[in-house]
Amino acid sequence: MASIEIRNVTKKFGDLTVVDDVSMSIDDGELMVFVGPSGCGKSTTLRMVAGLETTTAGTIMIGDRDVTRLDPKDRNIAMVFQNYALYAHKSVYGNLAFGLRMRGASKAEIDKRVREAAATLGIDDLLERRPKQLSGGQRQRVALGRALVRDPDAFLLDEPLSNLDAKLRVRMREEIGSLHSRIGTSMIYVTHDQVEAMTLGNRIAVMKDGRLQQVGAPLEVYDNPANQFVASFIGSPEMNQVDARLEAAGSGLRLMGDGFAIDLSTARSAGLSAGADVVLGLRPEHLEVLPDGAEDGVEFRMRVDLVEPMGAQTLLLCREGGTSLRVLISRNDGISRGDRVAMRLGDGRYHLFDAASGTTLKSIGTKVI
Amino acid sequence: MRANFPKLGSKLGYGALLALTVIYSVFPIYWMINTSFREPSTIYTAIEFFPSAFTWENFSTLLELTDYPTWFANSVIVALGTVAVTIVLSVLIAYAVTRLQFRGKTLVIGTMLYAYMFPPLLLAIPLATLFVRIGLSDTLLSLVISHTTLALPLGVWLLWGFFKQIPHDVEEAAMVDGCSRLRAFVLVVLPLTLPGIVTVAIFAFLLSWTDYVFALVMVSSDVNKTLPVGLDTMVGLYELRWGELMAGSTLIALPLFVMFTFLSRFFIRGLAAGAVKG
Ligand SMILES: Nc1ncnc2c1ncn2[C@@H]1O[C@H](COP(=O)(O)OP(=O)(O)OP(=O)(O)O)[C@@H](O)[C@H]1O
Ligand SMILES: [Mg+2]
Repeated sequence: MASIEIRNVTKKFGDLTVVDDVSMSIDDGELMVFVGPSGCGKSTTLRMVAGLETTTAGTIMIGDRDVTRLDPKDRNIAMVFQNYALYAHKSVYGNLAFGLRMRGASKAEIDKRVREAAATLGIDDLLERRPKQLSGGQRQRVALGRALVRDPDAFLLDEPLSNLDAKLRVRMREEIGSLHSRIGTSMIYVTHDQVEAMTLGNRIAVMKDGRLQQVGAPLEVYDNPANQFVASFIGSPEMNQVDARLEAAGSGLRLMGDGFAIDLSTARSAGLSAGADVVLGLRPEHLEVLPDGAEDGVEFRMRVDLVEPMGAQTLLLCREGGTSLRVLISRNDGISRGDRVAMRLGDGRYHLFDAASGTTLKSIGTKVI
Repeated sequence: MRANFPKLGSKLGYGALLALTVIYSVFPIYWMINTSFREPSTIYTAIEFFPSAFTWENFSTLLELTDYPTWFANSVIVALGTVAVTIVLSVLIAYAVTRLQFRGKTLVIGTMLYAYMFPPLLLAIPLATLFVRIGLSDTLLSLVISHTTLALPLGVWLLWGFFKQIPHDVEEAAMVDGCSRLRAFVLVVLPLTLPGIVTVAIFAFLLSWTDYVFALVMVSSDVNKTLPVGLDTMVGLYELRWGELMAGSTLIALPLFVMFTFLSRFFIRGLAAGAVKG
């Protein structure tokens, strides 16, 4: 077990910079999730930690060892690959035992550890099979088992669940989570699925175009996204983003947009100044539909364009002028297409981003008293 | 009933066709073995489908009159040498080509196969001139080199097909699991290409073992002759001694029979896999 530190790491393939000056530290026993859209450099960063890719610049530490120039075999890490990468010519037992054999463990030791790991993952009755004779979920377990038997300093997992069907994915996600809390080894988990990131990570690292955007606990990132990209990437359904302008109104400020005007109290607008072009970010779950006939506190009046019942919740697509908003409310069978609804920011939650740079000007992600 | 009739007919047709093919390919071999066991005096006087008097005489005169054991040893040395060099080189080249990225890769490998469009003699003569220059003429080594030259293109092409199929991940997993790059290659990649390697080995062995043209051009002294060329010296030298000739041929074919009995499954699998992915 050990902490991992990534210091100013850069990776170039020819002229193309795919990882750009990334720094972060992963505490001993922490589960860090790298998340970001396809091609943002998550895998490359992970592979540099594993030693499968050289670094163009920067330093990687595991514990207090500088491993930047070490071969993968000398880093004492275990890795789970997206396509499992099982040894097709070996039995499940042989797959699990391979890493231990390479490290010269005794036969008895190997047997004990393999059987323990197999029991933990529920694959003890598959030990004699070949990878070809296993289902996708079983293969995934074997791949995990191969990492587990080794008792490494850190686990590196690159989209380990992306080849499984939706149901199995959720189950394996839970299993990996509980496995991590049981064994307590540091883990880096790569995914492009923000739900996986939110549910699994102790902290998440959001990447885009090779740059680290934000590192933080999942809810911290959800409540206080560092910029427009993080705000839209984390959270589902995606955050609404609407162009607006800040204008002075009395003692406070007013957000003016196409089809809406919102008065911001001084408490809610501290630190902002009038005259700026901004993007208003509203999470669908933070909009509140007001009862019919409400007058007080109405901030939006919109027409319902689409109603998507999702079971416990209902997703509305509302439009007014050039503005459209997705609104997630508790199940409400009384609203139908074409209705007009009055809404406001629930508990006053909203985000403001600078229209030009996308950086966050203000985030009120939790309830304002 | 009626519907079954054409089925039965076509079945019989297939059967007959199959039988014809088998007879066509097996009969000469059978005739060779048959003749090698016949009394030499009867060979010109009667047509026998089974030896009326079963005898080892042809084999013993063959060994008495000729350097058969030397030729046999030469053939074995050359064939095994060819197999070893071909396998090592084609594994290395094919692997390098698989991992290297350059434009027109497929074309280059495809072009290698053009070597098979030329008649062997056309390749043998310039090669022989080369060997004279570097002082390798009339050696077994010159034969190993020539045979390797011929076996290599197919070997590379076939193994390339195999290496392409093996995901890079698997090697990386082995490296993370504690292998050096070389060890990962030997322990994880090579076992997965085994059918391909066996196929290349058989192909190289076959090519070398049965080669006549190169051996004829490259080798002149009796002690360096291989079986096919050596056996050929019997023709004319001792008139046409069919009995001994057939005994010699039977002995040439014997190792091939043994090999194919044990390895044909690999061979077919290797060819099929290589061809589909090639
Ligand atoms: N060996 C390579 N040579 C050149 N470019 C590469 C190489 N490997 C990756 N890249 C490029 O680096 C960028 C980042 O790739 P990477 O695999 O790290 O992305 P990712 O975030 O893991 O994406 P995904 O979610 O699709 O797996 C991509 O644009 C990719 O094309
Ligand atoms: Mg990736």
